[in-house]
Amino acid sequence: MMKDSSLGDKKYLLLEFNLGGKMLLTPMADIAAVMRDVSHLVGVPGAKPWMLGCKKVDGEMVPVIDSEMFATGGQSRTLGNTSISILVVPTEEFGLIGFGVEHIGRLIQLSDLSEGGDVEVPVWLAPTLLCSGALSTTTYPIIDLTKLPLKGIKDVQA
Amino acid sequence: MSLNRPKIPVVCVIDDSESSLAFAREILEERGCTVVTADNTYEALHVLTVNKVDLVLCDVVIPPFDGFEFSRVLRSRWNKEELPVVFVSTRNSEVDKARSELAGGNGYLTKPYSAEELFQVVKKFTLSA
Repeated sequence: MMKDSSLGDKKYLLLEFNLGGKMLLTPMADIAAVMRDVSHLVGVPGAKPWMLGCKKVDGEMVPVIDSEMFATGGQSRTLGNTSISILVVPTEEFGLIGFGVEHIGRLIQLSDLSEGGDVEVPVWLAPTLLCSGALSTTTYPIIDLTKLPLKGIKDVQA
Repeated sequence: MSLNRPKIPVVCVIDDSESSLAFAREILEERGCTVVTADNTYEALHVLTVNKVDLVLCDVVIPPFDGFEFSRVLRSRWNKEELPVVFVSTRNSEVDKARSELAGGNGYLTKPYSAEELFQVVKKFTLSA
């Protein structure tokens, strides 16, 4: 995944966003669409609480999930307000999936990425952690949302 | 004596996503292209009128009319050799690719794309520009 995000030698373009109360980065080359401050999703009647609804992306209805609620089976601490932002990511098994996030920030260019590094992510996001990247004095976790265990995502009905 | 300098390709990126525009711009400027952008098709028409553009990268779903309609407008003024148009979309079906050809598109790039994939497309259509 990371090598596809390469801009040139050892340069990466990463998108900044908030999820699970953390500022995170993800390779922009893995993101099919970015939707900021979406106020309306098409509801899915009788769906499980983690199914936030559907959003049309290039004419195709894409399911949008609360990944924290999906992964933990608990309550989302962060989503559920009046508007959310969405990262649309292609997955091999399930096609396009929209991941609800709290806020989408800047596109950041980094050249030094570290394996692991001194970063922490919530436990439910641990499978998605690829590496870390430093920008001035801050080190960000770099994650791949498609690494979330998505088994059961088709089991939408509550 | 004239210097035979390679021409710098001018690429027009049309997308209503701020992040997608920024991503394409970073990739292409890093590799020596000049990039002009528009976040809607009205603005794109103006940009294409005032700039000599070598390649258009156009999102398929772009307000106020979609990329295919926009391409048909462009084709009434420029042919495929004069102004190549590559459609960019999250959709990847053969039907969409066929529609893009019918609308006068020269190529089709599926999102998400890597830096290298984007640059290869630009190279392909601007090499002889």
